[in-house]
Amino acid sequence: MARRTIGERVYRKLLRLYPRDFSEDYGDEMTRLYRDRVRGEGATSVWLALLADLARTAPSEQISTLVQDVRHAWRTWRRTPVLALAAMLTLALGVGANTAVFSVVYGVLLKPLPYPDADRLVEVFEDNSRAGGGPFFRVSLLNYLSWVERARSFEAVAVFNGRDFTLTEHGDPERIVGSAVTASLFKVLGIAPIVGRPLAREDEDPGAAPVAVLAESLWARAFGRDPAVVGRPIMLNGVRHQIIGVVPAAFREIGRTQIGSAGAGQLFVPLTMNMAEDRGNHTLRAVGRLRERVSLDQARDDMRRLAAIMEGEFPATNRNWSVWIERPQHSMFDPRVRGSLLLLLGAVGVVLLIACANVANLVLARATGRQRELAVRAALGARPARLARQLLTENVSLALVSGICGLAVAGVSMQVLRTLIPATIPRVDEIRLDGTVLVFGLFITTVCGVFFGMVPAIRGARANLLTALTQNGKGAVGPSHQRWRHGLVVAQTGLATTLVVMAALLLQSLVRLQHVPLGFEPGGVLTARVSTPQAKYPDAAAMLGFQRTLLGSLETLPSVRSVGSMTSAPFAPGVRRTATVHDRATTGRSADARASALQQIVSPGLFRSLGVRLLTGRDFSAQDQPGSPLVAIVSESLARSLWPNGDVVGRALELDGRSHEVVGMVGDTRGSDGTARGGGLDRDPQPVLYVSSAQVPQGTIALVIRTDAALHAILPAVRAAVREIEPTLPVPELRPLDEWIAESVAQPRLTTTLAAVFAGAALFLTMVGIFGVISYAVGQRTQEIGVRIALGARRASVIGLVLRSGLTWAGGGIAIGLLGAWSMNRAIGSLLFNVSATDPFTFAGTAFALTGVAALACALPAIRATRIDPVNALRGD
Amino acid sequence: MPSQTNPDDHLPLAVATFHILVAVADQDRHGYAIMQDVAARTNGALKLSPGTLYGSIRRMLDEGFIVELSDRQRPDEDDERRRYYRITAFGRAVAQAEAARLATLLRQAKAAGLVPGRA
Repeated sequence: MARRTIGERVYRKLLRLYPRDFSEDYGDEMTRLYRDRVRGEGATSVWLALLADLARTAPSEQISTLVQDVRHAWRTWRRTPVLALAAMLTLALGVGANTAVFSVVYGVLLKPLPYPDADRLVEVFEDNSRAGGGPFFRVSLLNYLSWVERARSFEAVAVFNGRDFTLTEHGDPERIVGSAVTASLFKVLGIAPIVGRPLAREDEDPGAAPVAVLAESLWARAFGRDPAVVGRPIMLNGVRHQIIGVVPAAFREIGRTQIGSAGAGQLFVPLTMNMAEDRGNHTLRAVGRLRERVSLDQARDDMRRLAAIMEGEFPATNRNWSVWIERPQHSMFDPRVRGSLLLLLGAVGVVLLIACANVANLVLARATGRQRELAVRAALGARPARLARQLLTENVSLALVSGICGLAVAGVSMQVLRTLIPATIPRVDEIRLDGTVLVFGLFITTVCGVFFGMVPAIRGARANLLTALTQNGKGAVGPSHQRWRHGLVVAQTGLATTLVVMAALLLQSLVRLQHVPLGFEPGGVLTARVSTPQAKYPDAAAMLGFQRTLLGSLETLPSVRSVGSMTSAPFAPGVRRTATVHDRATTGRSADARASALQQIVSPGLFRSLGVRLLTGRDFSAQDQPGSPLVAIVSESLARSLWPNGDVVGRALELDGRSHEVVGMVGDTRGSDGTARGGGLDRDPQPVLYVSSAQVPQGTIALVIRTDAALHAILPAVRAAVREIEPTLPVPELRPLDEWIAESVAQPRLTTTLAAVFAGAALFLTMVGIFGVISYAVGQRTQEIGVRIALGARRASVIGLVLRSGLTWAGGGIAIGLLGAWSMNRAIGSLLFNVSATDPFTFAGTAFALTGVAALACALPAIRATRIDPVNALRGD
Repeated sequence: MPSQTNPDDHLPLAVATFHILVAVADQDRHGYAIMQDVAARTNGALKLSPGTLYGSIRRMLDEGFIVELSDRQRPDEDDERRRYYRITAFGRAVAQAEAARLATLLRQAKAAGLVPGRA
């Protein structure tokens, strides 16, 4: 052929846009055609036509090749329907489970918060680390006001505080959860009202007319989404408020106090700027919007500088206090939630890998059977690349069909997961099968298809006619083929082992968590929160009178054994105030006799109702009155830290600058620390200081009712009793204390359940995988085994032969898996309670169990091997 | 592999396919010759582009309408070793079936008064 011109060379390059075999086949011809036409018609007009031709026919040739391959794939899969179906089901379940778990991880952890420029949102804390208090304290109102004036990093800062309201709108009074917020929260979140106006700075003034903003949910539920609601009055806690607007669901508390949307605030009132507040009262949550191009670190530096200046200005309240800033996506989660979710994502990914290994095994077995077909086609001129492409298309198209089924599986499992995930976990409502999740599902499907399609593709392309045709019609089983299969067994067994170890550790941890001593007896205890109507019982005496009447009346109900009240029931939501107390005798002299304790305001009889043991001294009683000397009861751990050796009863301790006489000591209880819901079961009991409700009035109490009756049996009586005393009071939402405790372990329980399910699936798939490989190997060794039997080998030795080969590979996998589990002990250790992440019994038990499973998987093929008829085997087929 | 079943299964033919079959019906031709023949017969109205031409040729080879000539069968005077294509008996049958289909269609059009000239 003559030397090519530049135009020809360019055209030749462009021909690569066609499928490879097409351009290889016709490239020369098309180039010639190009040359002939250029000679006849001139380059310009030919090029225009050629480019148009390329743009039109190159994609269509690509598609037609693909369609051809897919059609071919469909035909070949139809020849082995059982195999195709088994592979599809395995993959569909794997992809489905992965997509579902990913949707949870994405919705909860990864998805940007639903606010404009959400990456600029931060949560702001007062940091008391230097005094040993940790970095996540609430913010004081006056410090907040100073920040608003002086901080440079923020476009806006807002503070808020949860608040309960009693709404008396239609019929029965209703308890509504809401917040008092600053007007700036609108600016921080970047949210405008659906109707009406946002809160204004003036609404925060102490003398301002009371106004309220409805959340969309309350607007829909109580007002039928009526836009004319703006301007209407509503009665909240007996006070008339004017509705000024309605906000969408995203307008809510974010960050550390954020929980699932079911518990989100439904009503917002302006936070009143009470300038008489103590700068040392840390009561508010704060969120801010960083200025553009201000990084988190810059903001931290800026605020720390400001805090240092303020320490100098307000030494009495601000000494040792700094500021800490965190992204809400981080601060809203217990780090264990993040750890658990990532662990589950890893675990379900492992299940998919094992599933892929099984499918790869199936496909490999099938490819071996087709070695002949491929070799013949290669001999007839099909190029290796073309054959490889076709095999890959076969497997990827199978994967894609499985993937689509998998998405359906994901849709269903996601619904199940959403109901299982504890409502306390933030953003649960943001879990959905959205674009990103779909892309993820398709991505892993494709990766799977390529993964298990690649091996046979590479091997198929190397199909060798001679070996294929001389191998007795069975297809070639070279040593490299066996290597692949054994490699898959080792990998599967290893992955399954790691997963089983983790699930077993989590399971033990959960069992121990559920049997941890609580320090009280939750069985038969019902709790509810009750807010005293302020408007009707404005002063301490009236409030106390109301609470006493209520408790007294409940106590007379037939099935009630005893009734008490406290600030917040263990493991249940409620106010939790941590106070600093010290021994009066050593005040000012020693820092040792200081302790920080959760303050509980309790009624006489509370300890009996809750089942807390009184260790020494006495319970509060009717003799403790507002005017009488202040008394306190300490928990055992508080007594131990204040007075390590010595009497407790009769000591004087100081709380809020006032002296209290210690009259008793009670046992420690779990679920009573200063964090939300009193901490988890895994938290050691924290010191608690109990004071008498008669001497320290509080508006909202937690009722603790010990009863022999079931919840539904006692509810009508409670309702009647409450209505008789105070018709404007919402009916208390009674809930068994057991339920709150169960809810506190809901998250570890879910993690453990899912990990166990995944481990079970991994185990099952591995068993199937080993079974497949060993069965296949026995089939391949029929002749050899036949010879052995013919030479007098006994049953046991044949079984031993098969078991040995299976268990050798599985054993290797188990060893690798144990190493894997051991290397991950740091990651899983933080999720475990009272179990070592390298617990030798768990490791040994898992190894034993996996060996058993592997032996079981080998048993059937081994027994089949003993039934081989030497005559048939030697004759061959 | 070509599936030489019933010629009617392949009807109607794509325009390019039919033209190529007509071009190779009377003599073996290479790609450029096919293109020129089609252009000449249609007075330049249909100029097969390389993509369309060889895409069609590939499919026609797969269907067994045409075969590629081996080196020995090629005309001696061709110095550029072009690929020549020859119609198969099956390809001829398919082309005939298509021609018959078109003829019937034309007859019907005439009967309906759609064809100018002899009414």
